[in-house]
Amino acid sequence: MNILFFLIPVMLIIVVIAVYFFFWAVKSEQFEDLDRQGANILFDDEEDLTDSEAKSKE
Amino acid sequence: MTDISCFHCGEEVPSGIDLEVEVFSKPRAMCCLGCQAVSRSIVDTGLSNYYKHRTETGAQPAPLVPAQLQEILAYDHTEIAQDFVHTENNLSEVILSVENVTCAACAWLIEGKLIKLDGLAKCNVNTTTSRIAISWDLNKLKLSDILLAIGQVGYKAYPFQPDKAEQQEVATAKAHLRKLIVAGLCTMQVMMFAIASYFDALGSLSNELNIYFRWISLIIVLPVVVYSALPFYKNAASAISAKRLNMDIPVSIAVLLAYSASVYATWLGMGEVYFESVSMFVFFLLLGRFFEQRAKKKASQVSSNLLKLIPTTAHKIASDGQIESVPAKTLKITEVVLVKPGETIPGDGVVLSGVSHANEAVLTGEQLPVGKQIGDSVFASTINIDSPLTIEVRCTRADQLISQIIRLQEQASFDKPRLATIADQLSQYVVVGILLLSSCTYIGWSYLGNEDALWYAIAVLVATCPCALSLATPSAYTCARATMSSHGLLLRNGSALDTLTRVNHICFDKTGTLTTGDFSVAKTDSRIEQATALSLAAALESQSQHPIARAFDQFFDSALSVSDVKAVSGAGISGKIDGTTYRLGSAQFVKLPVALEQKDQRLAIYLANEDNEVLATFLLEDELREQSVSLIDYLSGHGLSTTLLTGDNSNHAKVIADTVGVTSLRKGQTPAQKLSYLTSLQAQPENVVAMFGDGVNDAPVLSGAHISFAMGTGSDIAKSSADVILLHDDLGKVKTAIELAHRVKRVIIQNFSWALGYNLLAVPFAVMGYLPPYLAALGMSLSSLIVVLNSLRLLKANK
Repeated sequence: MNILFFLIPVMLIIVVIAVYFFFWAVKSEQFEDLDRQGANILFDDEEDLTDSEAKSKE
Repeated sequence: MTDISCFHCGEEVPSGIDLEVEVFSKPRAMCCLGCQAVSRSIVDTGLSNYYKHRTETGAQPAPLVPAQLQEILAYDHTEIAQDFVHTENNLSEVILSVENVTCAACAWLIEGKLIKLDGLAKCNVNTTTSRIAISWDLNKLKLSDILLAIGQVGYKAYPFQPDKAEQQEVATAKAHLRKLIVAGLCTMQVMMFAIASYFDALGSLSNELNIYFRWISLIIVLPVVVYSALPFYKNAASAISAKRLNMDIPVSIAVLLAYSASVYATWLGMGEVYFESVSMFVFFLLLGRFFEQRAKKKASQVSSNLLKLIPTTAHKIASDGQIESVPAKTLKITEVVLVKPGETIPGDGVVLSGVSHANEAVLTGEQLPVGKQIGDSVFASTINIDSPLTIEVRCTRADQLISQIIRLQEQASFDKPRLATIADQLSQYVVVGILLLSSCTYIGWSYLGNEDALWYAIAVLVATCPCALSLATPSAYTCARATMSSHGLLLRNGSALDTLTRVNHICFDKTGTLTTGDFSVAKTDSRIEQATALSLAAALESQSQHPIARAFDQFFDSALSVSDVKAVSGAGISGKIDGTTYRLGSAQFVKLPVALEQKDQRLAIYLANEDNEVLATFLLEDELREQSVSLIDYLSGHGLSTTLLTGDNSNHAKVIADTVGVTSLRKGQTPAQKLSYLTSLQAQPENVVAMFGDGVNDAPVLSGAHISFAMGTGSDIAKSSADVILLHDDLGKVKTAIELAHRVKRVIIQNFSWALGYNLLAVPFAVMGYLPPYLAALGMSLSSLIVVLNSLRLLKANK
């Protein structure tokens, strides 16, 4: 059971990292439009959008 | 041919229309020029895939009329743009509201179209809120170009006025989400250790490990207590400083006391710890508020989207006679402006030259145009109808009549009486009960000399955890809001529902609320065949822009063609049909002998031939909405008093009052008089008053009433003053709203009784120490779940 004394602090660090990424997601407004992202994949490989996609990701 | 539907919008293609656009190498039928233009633009920009992935058909686009084009160009004025465009380092940013964005394909289409514009830096369409965030290079692109590009693919976008509630929420919503995430993640971690301890009946965990678990839990729960639970402490503190009690007080006490007691126990290495309960408690409470906030945010976004910012421009005549287009808000006293027919008058002033009519409905609620000639006063925001006027501005913006009404509205909303909701009243008692009970437990056990007195007191606070209690109202309001929006009712303020169940007096505005505000032919007296008379009149009126002309639209017969049309401002119109000249208009215009004039108060229009022989008399009236009568019947049937509160001073007000059967009538009321009547009603404590209105002139009363309803087609200020917006102007839905409000009240009472009943049941066990922490936590979650499920029943349609 002694391994727990080491693994639990590691887990705490992972939790802190998870919280950091959640905060980043909130800040970059990823929770603002939950309806649309599911359908976005349909458009991704369309040829005529490649340039505009690249532009919008800037 | 009739069963062919338009490839773009899905509407049936009318017979005789033969329009096509080639999409995916096949000709596709189009129903109108608008759809054809949009579809061609989509194909030409290489965005045909829109048609492959869309889940709903497009909206039928209306071609831009020159006035709208003018409006769009006006957004380029720096003075107008500075209100909603944010500029930094040559990059401008704006958020626009778009109509008819229904699916991801729409969003993709708009983004695909815009991104091809030179100078556009970024655009992002949000389908949940129907908004686009755009940033662009000011030197390469104009806002009007962007709006026109959006128009080319068939959508209408415009800047909007963010709702006050929304502005406040934007800042807090993200902070709340972060707090929720921290509480959620920490709860998951701490439960892991808690469950290990719960099921450690055999004592297989070493004592060392147990102590280690406690210390780790202490650390994990710390951010929940000091960060996530912060809003509860703030609310509790502000309630205490206002000498009130609210639910956040026992919540804060429970959280802080349970945490510090657990820390103490960990420090001493004895007694029970409640870390997981504290964390879960905070998480559930935040979750409940999060859902409530989401629903509120959605409602305020929808109502913000309704408030379009449409700029008014003025044609200023400089001293050298040059006409210059300037934003209306920059006009100064003594400046002279030209107002063309169909334009909005930019400021309060006096007519210098020209004879015309103005539609002052925005101020008075009356659709019938008012004659304007040299020397007459005209008012900002009213509309010039038939011929150009030159106006000298006589008022600063702040002194304009419309600004005065807006100030009155702001004052009224500030003075609005707030009624304590049933939830407020109930929770007061509950809070007092919880606090008394736990202090009694502490005092009682200390008196008996028990060392564990503090533990028992905390046990009571945890067992009576008002988690389910605090979910009782928000969950019900959230569900009610969703149900109401499916009925086309936009609830801007949740507690309005509670007020609605107690309303005993309702005031209605007349024009635009009980009536449609449009004229219709009520009665025809004719010497020739009635249908012929109507179609002759319709043919003549089809040449006119006057609001009365629309009354005849439905009788229009395309077989009749009119030539030699002459319109005489404020009098009538004449024209030649099949070789005969007809005149249609007022009694003077058709040279009617005074003796024959209709003395009826309704508006009379006469049709005469070349020999001044009157062929027909049409009586027009402001058409009553279909549902008005049945609504008033329903209200009277439930013992509510009704008042017709109108600015109209004519007999028509009396006619309408009698037709719909209101209890009392107040006519010829100015906005200030309406408000003072309402205040006098509300001064009596037994009266709870609702107000229905649509115009700017109703805004002060709407703001001042206990609860108010605005028409979706009403003025922006009326909508932003009201608690509920009838999106489709359907008065019949008010009945649904009242019934729903009663159901909501029942559900809230049930929720409270359940939550309270469960807590009362748990308390004795908690006091005696028979309630282990995991059972208390499980019970708390189940209790909350039942409350939420009960509220979800409100989502079901009315039976």
